[in-house]
Amino acid sequence: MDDGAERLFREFVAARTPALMRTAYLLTGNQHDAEDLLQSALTKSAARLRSIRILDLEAYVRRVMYHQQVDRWRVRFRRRETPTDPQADLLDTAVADSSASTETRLLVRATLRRLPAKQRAVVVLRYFEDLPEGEIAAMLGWSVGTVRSQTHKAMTKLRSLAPELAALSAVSGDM
Amino acid sequence: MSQDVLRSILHDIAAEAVPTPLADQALRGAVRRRRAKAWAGAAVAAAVLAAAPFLLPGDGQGRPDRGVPASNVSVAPGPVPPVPSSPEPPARTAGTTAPTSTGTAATHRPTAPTNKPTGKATSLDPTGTVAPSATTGGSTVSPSATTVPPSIGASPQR
Repeated sequence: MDDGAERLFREFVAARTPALMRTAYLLTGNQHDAEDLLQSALTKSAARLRSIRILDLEAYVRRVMYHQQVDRWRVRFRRRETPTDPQADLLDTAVADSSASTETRLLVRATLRRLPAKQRAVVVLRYFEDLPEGEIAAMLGWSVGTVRSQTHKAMTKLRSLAPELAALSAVSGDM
Repeated sequence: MSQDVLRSILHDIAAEAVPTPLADQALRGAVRRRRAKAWAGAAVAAAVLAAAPFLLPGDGQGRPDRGVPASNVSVAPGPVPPVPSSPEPPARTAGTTAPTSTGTAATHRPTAPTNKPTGKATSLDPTGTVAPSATTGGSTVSPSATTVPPSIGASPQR
């Protein structure tokens, strides 16, 4: 890697690490796994920096993150490991909440962790990054129908795992 | 649950992430990854080169068949290696040695169908006599073994 590409990569990482870390945090559910996921995606991107345009670097990093998260989850499923982060749960109780009640937020957070990786990725892409279904399908390499079915399953599971969310859904009425 | 509520909850959760400087680690990891790939490629190449002699078609005795054309491959005319200068013993039967275009019996070259070693020491010539095969170093030259390539016949030395 020449000096110019390395400098651009450093600038990109410095500028976009907070946003990428937020996505990784939502995908993994804890800080350590998020750092590992982003680190791995950045490493792969840096190794292919010659063939990736700097403008497409963020899209590439995000794509690697989503794909790797699904693969990582598959590996963990084979090893029968369950991602847990009890310290983060304890810390959450002290975090102030501005948009929803703390109880609801903790419930959503715990429910997200229990979702399969595909469904969690779809929820993050659809409701955090606000991507349309077509872009989600292109990002993950799925069909639009698969994206829709995974989204439907994820929302159904969110309601089933957290009955409070179903009650909230009945009140709001749009889900 | 409204989608806006879900979006706001997701943003609140994501705000808990602590960004850490990862550029140096990523660059070091990329270098390490590239080195690992290079080492793996070199190891595979070395393994292929080491196994290549055993993968080539052999003569069935565990030795590679080096430079000997297959039986169904025609021999292209070209320079013939010099025949050893040992005196050639006389033929066993008259008529088994055909006159050659160069007038010397030492310039014979085996033809393609019989030039691969088969492990058999003898072959029958048209006269019915048992003659050693041309490739076994025998002295009798069968009619099929007297074909001289044009390049040899046109050689100014002969």
